[in-house]
Amino acid sequence: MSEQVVPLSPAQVSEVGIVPAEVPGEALPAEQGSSLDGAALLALAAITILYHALDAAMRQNSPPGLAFRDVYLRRVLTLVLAFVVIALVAGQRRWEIKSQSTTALRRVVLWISGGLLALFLLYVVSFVFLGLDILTDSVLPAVAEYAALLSVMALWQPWQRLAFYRSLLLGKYAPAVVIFVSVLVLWQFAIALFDIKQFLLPAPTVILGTFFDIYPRLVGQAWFTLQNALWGFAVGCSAGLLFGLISARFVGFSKAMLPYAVAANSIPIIAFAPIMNQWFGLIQPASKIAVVTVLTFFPVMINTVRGLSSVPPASLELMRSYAASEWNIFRKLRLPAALPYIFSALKVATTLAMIGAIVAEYFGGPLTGLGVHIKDDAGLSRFPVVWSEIIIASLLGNTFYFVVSLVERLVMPWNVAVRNQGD
Amino acid sequence: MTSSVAQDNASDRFSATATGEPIVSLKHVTQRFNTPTGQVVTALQDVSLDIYPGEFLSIIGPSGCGKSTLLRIVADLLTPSSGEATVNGKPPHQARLNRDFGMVFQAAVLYDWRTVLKNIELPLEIMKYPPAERTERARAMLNLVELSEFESHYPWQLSGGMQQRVAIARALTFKPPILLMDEPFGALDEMTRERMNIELLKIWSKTNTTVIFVTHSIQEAVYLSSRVAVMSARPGQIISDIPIPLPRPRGPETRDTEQFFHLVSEVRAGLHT
Amino acid sequence: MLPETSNKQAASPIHTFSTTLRDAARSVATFTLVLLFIVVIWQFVKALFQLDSFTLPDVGDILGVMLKPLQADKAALGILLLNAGLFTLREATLGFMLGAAVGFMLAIVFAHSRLMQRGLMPFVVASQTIPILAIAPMVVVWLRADWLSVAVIAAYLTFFPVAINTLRGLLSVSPTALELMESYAASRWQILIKLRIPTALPYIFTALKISATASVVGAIIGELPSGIQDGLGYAILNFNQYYIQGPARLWATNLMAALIGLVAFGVISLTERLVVRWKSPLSEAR
Repeated sequence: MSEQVVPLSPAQVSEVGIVPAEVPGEALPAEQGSSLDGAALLALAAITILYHALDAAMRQNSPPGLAFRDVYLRRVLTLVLAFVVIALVAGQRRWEIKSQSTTALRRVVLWISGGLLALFLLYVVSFVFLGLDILTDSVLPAVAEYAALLSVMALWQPWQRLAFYRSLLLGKYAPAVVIFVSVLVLWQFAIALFDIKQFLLPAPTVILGTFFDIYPRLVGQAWFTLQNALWGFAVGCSAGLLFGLISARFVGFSKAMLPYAVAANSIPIIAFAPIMNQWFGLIQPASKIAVVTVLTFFPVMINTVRGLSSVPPASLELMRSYAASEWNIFRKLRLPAALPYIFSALKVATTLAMIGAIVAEYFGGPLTGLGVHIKDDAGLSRFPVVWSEIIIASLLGNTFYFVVSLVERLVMPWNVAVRNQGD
Repeated sequence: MTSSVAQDNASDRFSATATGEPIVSLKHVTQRFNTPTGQVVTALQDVSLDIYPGEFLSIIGPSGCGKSTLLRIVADLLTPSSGEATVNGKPPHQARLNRDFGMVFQAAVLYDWRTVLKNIELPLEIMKYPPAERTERARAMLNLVELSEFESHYPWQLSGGMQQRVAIARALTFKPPILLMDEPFGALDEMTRERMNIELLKIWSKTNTTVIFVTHSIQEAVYLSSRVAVMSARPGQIISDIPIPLPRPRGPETRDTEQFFHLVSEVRAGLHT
Repeated sequence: MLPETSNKQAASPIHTFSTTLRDAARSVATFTLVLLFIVVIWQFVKALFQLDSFTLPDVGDILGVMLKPLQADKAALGILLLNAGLFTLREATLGFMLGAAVGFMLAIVFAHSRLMQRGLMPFVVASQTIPILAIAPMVVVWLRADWLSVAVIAAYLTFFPVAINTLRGLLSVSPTALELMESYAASRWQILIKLRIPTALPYIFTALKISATASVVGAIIGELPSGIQDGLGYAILNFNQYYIQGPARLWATNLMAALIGLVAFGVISLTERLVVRWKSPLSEAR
């Protein structure tokens, strides 16, 4: 992924004995750059949305304000913003320590923008979590929003990497962009030209128009379903992790059981959604959460066991030569070595959780859910609406995936490079 | 790394014939393995060897002769089928619990998720040193292997030779009296290997460590050692024990002396008997 | 202490016909044992928490309901479900083959053309980030409601893992192996057949195992909006509606679905064993 920025292959680098990121003033490595850009964009979006939820007038009248009415959605958004800000600051700090190019001015900017963002977060928290209504009908929310937006830009500094973006756009993404645009144009023209009926394939402009017309409603539905996905993800992944950790402690046992876990993973668990409906109630979230839980449990457990037991023998011998205790071997060797496996399972689980939560609603569910609406609208041939629902689902699913991979980068900064080497 | 002559002032260790109590002692050690097909392979046959404090002993032999097996017995990673090993006056198991030796493998075996400094601190963490002392000692070791400016790098950012120097620093950081090295430079190219040899001699002369060094390079063994033990092909036995009275400090020019050539020939002759 | 573990691992086991047979017998035996264990746990849980048959039917009841016909002078439920299962398996198989073929072709094209890879890969990835099954109702409208449209949905779920993993496998060829082939002046085609595909096979089978499951899921879900009445998807919906009258029927249907998934997975695993004979036990970790 990073061939534009890192001119040497890993083998060459190790031969010369220098480090690409070491040259002062050089741009961020592409991998780190892309995650930083994603975090910044997510922060900008979250700040804009939270402003619409904060400002008294916007809250009642603007479509985004209406879309983000739900108090839990606001809270989660606030938490996501807080996390992304931390990721931004930490990422910038790490990079600056490494490149040793920090000037005094830069450090001041970093402190001020970090402080402003913290203040904005406090303000949002006071409204969203504590229910305080401090001057939300004045200009304060707008001022706070712009200050926060500027702070993110100051942290992000996209202008520093314009050359990098240009090379990315022209080199790597050019074919994809060309294809994307031409497909959209062809699609639009084909519908006009061949007079394709809207129930077969709506035009992109129609889909986009529909999306912006109805998105306050869509956000509500998608949020309902996403909540099921999040809870199921949390329960399923922690159970999988716990089970994996425990069973990996008994090596013989876990080795013997692994094939069965893998086989159990091949059972179409979605088919059990009706039974979950019978157990936990058709319109209860618990029935959907249960499906997602079971769906995410197996991949996480399997990968945890694999990660914990795939430690290179030489690393183990090193630990043995220190007469390290089993606990030390676990904490300092097995667990860090297993982290890449665990995170790749967690990323798979985000997609599974989203799909599981939607499809579980195909077998029946409350009218507030996205899956129920996709099924019904498709049945009534309201395809522009269905496409809009697909758009919102993939937007949320992608955000979910991105947040998890951001956590991965924060937890294992060493891994990005190692993985790049492997590719 | 540019300095060519190792600053060797341990004059009393020049002598090839050491005396006193051996620090590592193997008595009639035999090691057999069961293969999956049901055969029994004898890797070591009745090996006896004494190593004295401060020595630099190389073990050399054809591949598969059991050099590494011998080292693993000393390191308590294998239990001999028969015979007795003593390390620092104790059975190997006790010596391992007392952390009497450090090990360096053919691969550096650095942990990807730790920076260079943290990798060197690893044994100290396990041995429960206080954090301040850990960092201080690790930094001192980094200084010794001349990698101070790389302390916050991750292993993948270092070249092969640098990684191996980190591994040596890690093995020395808890100041073990014995250093066990299992073909540590086997994966390096000739140039890097010669440079690493000089570095190792420098480190050895600065510390008071006994080194057991497994290699399959005759030149390397002669250049480094105060004594070379030559092993035969399977079943492994020690067939000759050659003192290396080359003067120290030894630099690159040592390799061009007549004495060096003579000793290399002697070891080669020992290998082919 | 490590008594000679490293030596044991170094030796690769020799696959002969008799050892394969013995392995198979042993895995059948352990499988039966595990199955029995699950049944015992099931009944134990039912007894312990005094669960009624709506919450957790008796294993015996589930098996019993399979033997009885749904209506008088019709076939037994078990036969009915078996037919439905085979119908779904047929859709899944067709979808699986379609998807695997598409994925395989894509990977080969991507491996040889950087331009194609850069142009199309983002969309291959993006196709999976949207909840695929949301498209199911529309595919049914496009292709008319027959079992072919269900197979297409199954294929949609199948092609992605195959494409990604095959590409990874094709590109995982070591540079030296590639240079060896080039030193023989081998053509691209020969390199593909003799080097890249064999190297990629373990990767491909990993993907096929994932895809086998995905295709069964795709087939069952695809049946829901299409109104096809011959498959398991419809049976699940149907028995779900009449759960009060016979909870064991829904459970029996789900058991059949689980069985189909296991069969699909098992067939691929068995094929892998027959095809990839050179795989060492250590490479299992991947």
